[in-house]
Amino acid sequence: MYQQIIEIIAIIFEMNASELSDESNITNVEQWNSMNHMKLILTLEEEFNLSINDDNAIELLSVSDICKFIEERK
Amino acid sequence: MELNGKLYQLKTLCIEDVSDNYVQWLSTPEVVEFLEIKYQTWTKQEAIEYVESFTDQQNKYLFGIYDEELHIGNATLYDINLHTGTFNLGLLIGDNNYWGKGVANDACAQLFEFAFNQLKLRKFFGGAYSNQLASRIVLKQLGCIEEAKLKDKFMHKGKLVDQVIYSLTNEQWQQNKNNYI
Repeated sequence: MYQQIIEIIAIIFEMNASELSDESNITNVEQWNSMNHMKLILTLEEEFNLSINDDNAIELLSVSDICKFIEERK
Repeated sequence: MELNGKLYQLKTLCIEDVSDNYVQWLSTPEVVEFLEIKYQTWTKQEAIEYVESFTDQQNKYLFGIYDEELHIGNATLYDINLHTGTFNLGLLIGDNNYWGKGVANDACAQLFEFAFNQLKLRKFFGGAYSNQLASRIVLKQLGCIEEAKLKDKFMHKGKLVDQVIYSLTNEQWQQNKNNYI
């Protein structure tokens, strides 16, 4: 699942997956801007068949937060 | 007055800057979707009067956001209270070619720097619709803290949504700003 999330982020942010790690977050990934974040949330909802509300979406600002969130809901 | 950010410039807006393009922004649903000005129809004269209302004021400032010579949006500091040191800010990115291009981060950073370091203000209080994720993310990235939620404050596409209140102190800005200035 971690690798799947990394690949999703890489595609949306138009970057190499090798540039991402579980330490990647909105403050250390230049491409992680507000518009890409919204695209990411929509894609995560589709890929994992989840509904992510606004308050959750605003907290999912790192790879580790996203992995933990999805793991808890699988 | 001119402020220079990493990507864009903020310049005091004058009535000469009220172009047909600018007036069009005020009537474009996607531009004003999360702004309370969406309930008003704007003529050029009304836009000119709005710009004029900022002349020689100490409790509000209106800047145009520019990419070199191209006017792409507006940024305001308002509700400035010199007694309590508080203020709010607003953004309108009218040119949709610049959506997703870092305008909000850059413009907000310049406004914070101006408010905290030149005006010596103490604390920002501002809000966003709860479903306005882009703005909430920008505010979080700049170090703002979510302080409160006002239930069912706004209407968005026929549904009531909450307003989320964010704050940022001068001290917090000094700690965060090196990433943005």
